[in-house]
Amino acid sequence: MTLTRQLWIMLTLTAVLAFGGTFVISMLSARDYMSDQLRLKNLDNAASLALTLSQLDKDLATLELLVSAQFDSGHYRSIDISDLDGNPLVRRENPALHFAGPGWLTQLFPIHVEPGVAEIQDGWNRFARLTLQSDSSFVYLSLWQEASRLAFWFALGLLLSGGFGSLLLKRIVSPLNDVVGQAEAIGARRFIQIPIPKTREFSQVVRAMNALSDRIMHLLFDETERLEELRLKSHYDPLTGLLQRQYFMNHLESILSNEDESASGTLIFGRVSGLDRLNRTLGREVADQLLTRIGENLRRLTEDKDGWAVGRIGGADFALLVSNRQDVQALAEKFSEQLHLSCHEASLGDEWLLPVGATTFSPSEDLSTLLSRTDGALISAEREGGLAVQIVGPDISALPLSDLKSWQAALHKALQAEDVCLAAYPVVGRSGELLYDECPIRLRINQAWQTAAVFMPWAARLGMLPVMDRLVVEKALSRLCDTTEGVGIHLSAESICDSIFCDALLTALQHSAADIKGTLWIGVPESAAFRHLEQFRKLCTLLKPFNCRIGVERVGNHLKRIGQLHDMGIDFIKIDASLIRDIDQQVGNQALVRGLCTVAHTIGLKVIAEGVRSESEKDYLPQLGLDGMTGPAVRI
Amino acid sequence: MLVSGIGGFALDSDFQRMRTVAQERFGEKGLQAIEDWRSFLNKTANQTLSKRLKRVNDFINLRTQYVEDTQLWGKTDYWATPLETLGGGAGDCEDFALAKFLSLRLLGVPAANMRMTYVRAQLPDVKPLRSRAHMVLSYYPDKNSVPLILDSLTAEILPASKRPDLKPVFSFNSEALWVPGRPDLVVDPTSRLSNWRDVVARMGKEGTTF
Repeated sequence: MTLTRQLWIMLTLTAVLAFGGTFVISMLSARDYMSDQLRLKNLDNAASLALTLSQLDKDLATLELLVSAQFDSGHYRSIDISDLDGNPLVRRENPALHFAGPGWLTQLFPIHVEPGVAEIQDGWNRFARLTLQSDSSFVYLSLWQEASRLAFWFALGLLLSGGFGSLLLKRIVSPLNDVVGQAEAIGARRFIQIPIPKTREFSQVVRAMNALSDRIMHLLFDETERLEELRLKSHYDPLTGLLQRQYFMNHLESILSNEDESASGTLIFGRVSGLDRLNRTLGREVADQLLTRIGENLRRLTEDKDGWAVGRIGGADFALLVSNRQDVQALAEKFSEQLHLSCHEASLGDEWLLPVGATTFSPSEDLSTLLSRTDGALISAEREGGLAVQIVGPDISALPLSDLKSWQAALHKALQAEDVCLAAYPVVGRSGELLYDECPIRLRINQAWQTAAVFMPWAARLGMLPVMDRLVVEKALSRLCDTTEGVGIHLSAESICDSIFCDALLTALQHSAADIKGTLWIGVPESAAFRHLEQFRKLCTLLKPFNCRIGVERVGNHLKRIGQLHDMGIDFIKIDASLIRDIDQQVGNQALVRGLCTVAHTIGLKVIAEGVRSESEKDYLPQLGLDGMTGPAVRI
Repeated sequence: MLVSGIGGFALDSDFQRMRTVAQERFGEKGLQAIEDWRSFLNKTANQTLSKRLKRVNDFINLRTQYVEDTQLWGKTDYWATPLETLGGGAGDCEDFALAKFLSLRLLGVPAANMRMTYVRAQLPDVKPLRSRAHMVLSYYPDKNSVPLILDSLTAEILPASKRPDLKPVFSFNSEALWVPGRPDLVVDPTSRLSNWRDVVARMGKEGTTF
């Protein structure tokens, strides 16, 4: 029972008790007072009527006339004249009680007023006895008015004090809602802090819980910091600060297998030809200085850019990966510029060859094909000598369409014709049970179903990602109407920043017939979540009432910021395929993933591995603390 | 011992209270008057009815001097209690009648047979003939008979028919005051509202009731 209701009950009880007491007391005293008045009136009227009659002739007509005159003009119940033996002479009576109020009042407070008695004289003789009773209905009427007035004032008092009390109570306990909210958040492992309320009892609780949150947050941040350090140490080349070959390749491979717009892009290789010679002639220190410069400049180039990765893939070989960009010529020239700038900064002459080879790639392309094509470009650039930038076109025969205009037409056509469906890849739990189905979108273009990776880059360029995502949400919801299995979708950065999309998402969820009980898993890429943290937070708040599960996907590059997710109310994270690649052999990644699981579990998140390719990966993952996994090797 | 019944001194303590009040208000003389009254009542208690009437009429008439209220009490119309009348040895017509009423009640005469009667009296000794308002005590041997008049102006008790000088106007007695089972009504605050009920209330305080 709420405090407000208890307050009302208490007030009502008090008012009823007070009313009852006051009612009885005032009714009794009013009744007694009025009875006394009535008795005196009876006595006086009897005496004065008897006195008048004593002076007159005692014939019956006169008596009757006088009694009627008195009776009719006054307020009497009865006037009765009997001789001394009790034989009635004249009698007027009006027994009906003219009282419109409730009958219980007359029963509860009966009124007995003694009649007024006087004797009529005829000369010296006693003639008759006069008995007179006044009408008492006005007593009840005034009692009833009194009772009604009393009830009205008590009800008014009750309403006023109840209303006022409720307001006051609301003010007093309003911090309680915040306290409860915090306790629930902590229960759900969201370690939020709230302002200390003014009420002392609450403030002690809040202070203690804030301290708890604070301590856990510190632990969390320390841990993520440690994880980030570990990642830097094991993934990056110490000299240049660029990704080591293996991790660069892992990253590239996971990009190629992505099911969205990032699965296509540009790959550029560059080389410092004759590094051995430089080493020999100018010394190792100069060579190292050049490499350091190159590392710095390339890192500056990619700094703060999503989808850009740069690695040192050989002693003198560097690589730049830009996903979802097709302007290969411009990118290659920029890359080449950085190499030359570094040479210049290291005070080296123009005699050193810095060839650059570049190519674009499309989704699902084979890694080795892509690598050998890029290598070919690099070799031919080296053969030409100087500052050559060699660009090799991709094999576009696999693509259904090649230019933006025809893609635009094709996409609109597919959407209009509802040539849309969802694929389904299982995500399984620790013991192999199905957690949910990952459902990326498929479009039918030119009579063939195409994966998202094929058309998403074009959709992204056409600004159609929110439209696509809306379609995905609709399809997922209608799928949920038919199945009890969970459905996983993901939203692009463009969508979560698009207020029209967010409104549409809300509307779709509100009007959906589907019974979402944690069966809709919504993922947002890590880069989008951290780059648009506020929008992501809004999205989480928006989705929470619908019992959706919200998560961050492709986690791996911003480990330090994982702690920031603790108060967002998200449910899961998915670890990027690049961290999962050959996990059974990569000791560094094992430590990373294990640490990541610990941190995520501390803030109540499930951890799912993405892009599991081999049986050995699949077998190794559970012992690191993963809650689920998905990928080509994962089947139900 | 005094008579018992609905009136009178139910207890000796009532009389004691009366003595105390008389002494306080009228001193030794008052106390003596009350003592005399009591011994008179004791002596008269067993007499015949007509003797009781006669002796009470004489006792009160002789013991009490006729003085107007304005002189005695400084008020135009003050109803004195029998104690005040006897203790002070003075009173006007209604005080005589009331003292007689009470004395007869204490001697066992039923209240229903007695009435205090307002009369218009013609005074014989004043020329030209003039009337004045007066009050007597009327005794009705039975309810339909002519009453006997106990008057403060004449020593003799005569039937009303022998008193052409008196013209009755109205009479009352203590009956209407009584509510069966509610003796407290006599002394309730509203009783101050009439002279009659006022004197009855004051009598109650002094230790006498009808």
